[in-house]
Amino acid sequence: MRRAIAMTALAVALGVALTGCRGGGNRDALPPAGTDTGSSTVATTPAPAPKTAAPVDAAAAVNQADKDLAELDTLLAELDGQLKKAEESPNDED
Amino acid sequence: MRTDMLIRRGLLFAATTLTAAALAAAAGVPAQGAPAVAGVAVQAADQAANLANAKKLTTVRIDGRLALLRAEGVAIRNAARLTDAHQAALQKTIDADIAGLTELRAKVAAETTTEAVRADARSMVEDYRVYLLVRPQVHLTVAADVESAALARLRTLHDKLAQAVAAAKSAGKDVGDAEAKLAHLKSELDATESALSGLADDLLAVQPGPDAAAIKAKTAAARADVRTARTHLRAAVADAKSLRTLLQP
Repeated sequence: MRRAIAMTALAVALGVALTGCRGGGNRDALPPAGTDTGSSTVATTPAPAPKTAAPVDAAAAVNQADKDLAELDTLLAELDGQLKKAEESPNDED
Repeated sequence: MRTDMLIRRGLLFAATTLTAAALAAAAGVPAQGAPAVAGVAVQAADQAANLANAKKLTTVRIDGRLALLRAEGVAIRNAARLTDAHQAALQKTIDADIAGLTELRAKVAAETTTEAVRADARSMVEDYRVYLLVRPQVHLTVAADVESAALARLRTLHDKLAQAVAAAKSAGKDVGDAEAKLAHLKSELDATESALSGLADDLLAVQPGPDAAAIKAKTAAARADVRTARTHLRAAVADAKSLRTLLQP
């Protein structure tokens, strides 16, 4: 009886020990998540690209300016029309 | 004796003549009464005609205002640059004026005196000021909002052009003229913004009333500000066109 208990205890202890080795001793295991500031491991997450101003293409700027200026000419023509309607008239005394 | 007889005959003749004249005068009274009665009738007819004419004229004047208000309603609904707040304010004025003038039109039709019609005509003018105030409010507010839209567009364009000038400078190009134009463009935009500041809101706050000169002064001031803003916008557009030429590769 004592011998059986001892064998069972030994088997349980051996199993626990083996489980522990498998979880913590695997050299190929993935590194723990989160930052590891204290370790010397090189971070593999790609750093965000530095924010640099997009190069200004003079030709593109001129093209865009042409579009904007064409629309502005339309707006100014619309403005002239409104101002003409807002001019004083003989009926304005009323 | 003969003299006495002559005197008596003379007195008798005079008495007879006077009596005849009195009788004739008495007989003439009924003959002259007919034109007087006819005159009263003519006067009444004239008054009725005057009332009818006054009502007709006032109704035509009200209809002219109603037509203009409806046209202005269409104009503000089609004004793409008009802000929602300004459109709502103008629509409220137009709706209220159409309702009020329609009611006044019915009141004119029911009037029985020219004095009442005259009072209605005064109300038509002073309580609404459709020509003096509402029409300029609509078109100057739309114009101011068009100018605000142009100003925003030009500010964006200014920033893009400034980037292009900076890039050209970094590349070693001489951008002295371009930088001067940029500075002038910015000053014109600031002047435009200053002219437009509070313009529409101040104009929309003006209320109709009997003081036509005061209303006219306010609409004239708004018109002058819109013109000033237009002058600066035109100068800014000219600067932008010059910059575009200078930057052309």
